[in-house]
Amino acid sequence: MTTQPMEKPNAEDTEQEHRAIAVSSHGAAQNTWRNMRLISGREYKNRLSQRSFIITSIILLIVVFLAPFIPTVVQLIQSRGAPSQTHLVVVNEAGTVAGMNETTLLAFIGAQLNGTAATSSAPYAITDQPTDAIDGLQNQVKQGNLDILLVVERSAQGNLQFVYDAGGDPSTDGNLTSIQALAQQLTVLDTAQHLGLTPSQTARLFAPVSLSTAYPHQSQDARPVNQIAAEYILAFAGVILIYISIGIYGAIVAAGVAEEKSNRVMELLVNAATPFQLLAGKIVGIGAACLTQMVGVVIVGIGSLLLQGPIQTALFGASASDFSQYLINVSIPFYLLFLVYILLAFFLYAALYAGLSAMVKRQDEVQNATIVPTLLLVSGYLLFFLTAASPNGALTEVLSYVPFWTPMLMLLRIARGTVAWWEILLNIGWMLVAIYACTWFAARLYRLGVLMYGQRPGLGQLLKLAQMN
Amino acid sequence: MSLTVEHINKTFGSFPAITDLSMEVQEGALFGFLGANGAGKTTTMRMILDLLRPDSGQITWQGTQVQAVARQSFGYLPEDRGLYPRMEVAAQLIFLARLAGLSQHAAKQALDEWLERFQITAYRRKKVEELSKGNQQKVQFLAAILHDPTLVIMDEPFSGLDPVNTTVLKAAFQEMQRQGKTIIFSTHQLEQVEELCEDMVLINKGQTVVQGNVREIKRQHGRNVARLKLDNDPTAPWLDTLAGIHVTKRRQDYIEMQLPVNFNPNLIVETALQHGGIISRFEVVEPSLTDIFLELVGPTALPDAAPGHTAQGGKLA
Repeated sequence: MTTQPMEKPNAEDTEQEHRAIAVSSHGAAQNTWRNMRLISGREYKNRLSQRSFIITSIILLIVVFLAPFIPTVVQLIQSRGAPSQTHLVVVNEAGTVAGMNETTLLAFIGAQLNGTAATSSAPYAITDQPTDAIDGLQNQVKQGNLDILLVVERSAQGNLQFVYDAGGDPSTDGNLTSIQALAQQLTVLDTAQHLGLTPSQTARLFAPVSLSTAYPHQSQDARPVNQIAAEYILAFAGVILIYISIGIYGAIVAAGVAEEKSNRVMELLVNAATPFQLLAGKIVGIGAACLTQMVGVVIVGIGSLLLQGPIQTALFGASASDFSQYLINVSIPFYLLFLVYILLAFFLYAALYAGLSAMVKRQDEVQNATIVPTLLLVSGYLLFFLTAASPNGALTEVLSYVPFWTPMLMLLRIARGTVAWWEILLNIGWMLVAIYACTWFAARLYRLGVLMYGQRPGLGQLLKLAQMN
Repeated sequence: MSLTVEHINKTFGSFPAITDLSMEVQEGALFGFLGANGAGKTTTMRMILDLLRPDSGQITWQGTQVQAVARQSFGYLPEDRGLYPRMEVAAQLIFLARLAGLSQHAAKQALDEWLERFQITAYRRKKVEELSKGNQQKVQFLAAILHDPTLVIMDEPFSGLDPVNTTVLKAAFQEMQRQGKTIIFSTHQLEQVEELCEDMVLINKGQTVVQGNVREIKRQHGRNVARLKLDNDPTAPWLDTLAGIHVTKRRQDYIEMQLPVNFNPNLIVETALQHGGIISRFEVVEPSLTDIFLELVGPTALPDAAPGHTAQGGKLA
C-alpha cells in the first residue's frame, strides 16, 4: 500500500491545529450556513428522490387538476341531459280554454314549458291529438313510448280539470312541477275569462308578491350566496390539505430524527455540526420538499381553474354558471394565503416533532413521544369543523389566535369574509413569534436528546433541562 | 502532546458507568482499548468525542479541552452501523466529508482514492443497506477518516469482518499510523491488539485495570506456559513434585503447566529424561493477552460478580 493518497502538505496540519485553538465552545458554529445548506440539501434531495414522495405528489396533482373540472362537468351533464326531449301529447276535451282555440292553446303551452328556447333544443316536444285517441295514447304511456299525456276536461260546474298521465317513478318525475304550474295558470286565465276580467285585470292577478326581508341580528354579508359557497368549499379543501400534509410531513421529520438517532448516524453528524444546525437543516430541507409539492399543487390548481373560464365559455356560451366564476375569482388569492399558512404551520409543527422525537431511543417510540403536536393538529382540525357549523364567529376569532390552530381557523374566517387584512398580518406575525419560540425550545430538546443515551426523562425534567444554559 | 483522560466519572441515573478513569494516548499511537462487554468502552469514547460530558474530570487533546477542539479533528466509527441505510455510498460519504469541512472537490478526490484502495469502486452508486456487512464496515471506516482527522476513534471496527476484510482494515490502520494519525480502537479480539498496538488500556466496570506498553504488560502479568508431551508417559505424575510448576491441563495430546517467573525450562526437560521419558513435544509459550484478560477481569466481568477491587457495585442497567 502506498502512502500517496493520504499525504497532505504540512500547511494543512498547522491549519487544523490553528483551528483547534481558535474555535470556542462549538467547533462547528462558524460554519452554520454552510452546514445548514449541506444538511437541508441532503434532506431535500433525499425526500424528492423517494418513491413515496413522487407517488403522493402525482396523486395530489391529479386530484387538484381534476377538482376544478367538477362544476364544469356537472353543468355539462345537466345541459346534455336536456336534449332528449320529453314528448307531451295534449288532448283537449274542454273546448275553448281561456278564449284560446286549439292552435293558440298549443302555442301557449309551448311558450310556458319551453320558454324562448328554439324548437330543436326545447325540453318539450308538444303535439295534440283528438279525443278518441285517448285509449291508444294511454297504452303508449304504459309501454313507455310516450312520456306524458295531458288531458284537459271541463267539469259539470265549468271548471277546468287536468289528467296527468306519465311513465316513470313519481318520486323522480321532474315534469310534474312544470305541468302543475301550467295547469294553475290555465285555470286562473280560464276563470278570469269567464268572470269577464279585462287583460290588465288578469295581469294583476299574476303580479308577484312583494315581501322584503330584514334580519338585523345576522352579520351583513353582502356577498352573493354562490361566492360564499365557493369560499367555504375552498376553506374545507385547504384545511383538509393542511391537516393531511402537516401530519405526513411532521411524521417524516420525526421519523428522520429518530432514524438518525437509532442508527447512530447522529453520532457522526454531531461530530461535524451543532444540534441546532442539524435541527434547522432538517426542518428547512423537508420543509422545502413540502413547499415544492404545495407550490406544484397551487400552480396546477390555479392553472386548472383558469382553464375553466375558456372551457365553460366554449361549451355553454354566456350561460356559464356563477358558481364556477366565483370559484375562479375567489380562489387565486385564497391559494396564495393557503401557501403561506401551510408553510407557517409546517415550521411550527416540524420544530416540535423534531425536538420531541430526539428524545426517543428507538423508532417505534416516536408516535408516543410526538403525541402532543399530533393532538394539537387533530384538535385544530376538529375545531375547524365545530366552529364552521356555529353561526357565531366570536369563538373562531378568539381561537384563531392560538398559533397551533391559526392556519386552519384563519382559512375559515377568510371564508366567512369577516377578517380584515391587518388581522391576517397580525396573525401571521404572531405565528412567527410562536415558531421562533418553538424552534428555540426544540433546539434545546434536540441538543439534549441527541446526546442522551440513558432513560427517557419525564416532562418535568425536560422542562428543567431545557431551561439550563 | 497527547490525548489525556484524567480522573473522569460518569453516572447514568444511579449506575456508575465510569469511575475515576485515567489514561493517556501518545500522539501517533495505534492504541488498543480493551474491556469486557459493558465495561464502559463506548461511554469513554463518547466522552472523548464530547458526545457525552463527564460528570467530573477532564479530557484534553493536544493540550486543549475536547469541548473546545474543532470537531473536524476527530474521526469516529461508532459500534454497529452509523450510516443512512437508504443513501448511496458515494453521495453519503461526500456529504459527511463536506460536513466535516472538505470541499466538494477534495471530498470526491479522497473518496475515489479510498474506494480504489478498498476495491469497492463498484459500490459507489449502491445503497448502503444493499452491501454486505464487511463492505458496510469499510464504508463506515471511510466515513470516519475521509475528512483527514488527526484523532480517529473506532468502536469495535473489526466486529463481523471476515479474515480478508480484517487484513485490509488492519493494513489501512497501519497506513494511517504511518501518516501520523492517532488511532484508538476497542476490540474483544485480543490478538489484534497484540498484533497492532504498542500501547493499550484494559478497563473493567468503568475503571482502569491495567495500562501501558503491551509487551511490558505481558511480561508483568501472567506467566509463561510450557507444553510437554511424552510418548511413553502421558500423565507424567512426577511433574507435580517439581517446585513452582503448576499443571493446569492434562490433555490427550499434551500437558500444560504454568512456569514461575525466571524459571529455567531446561529443568523440565532434564527431569523428563531422568524419568526415561521420550519427549515428542516441548514448547514454552508467552502468555497471550487473552490469558491476562481472563486473569485480570475474568472473575469480575460478569454482572453478578461480587464487587471486587475493580468493581464499584451496582448492576448493569
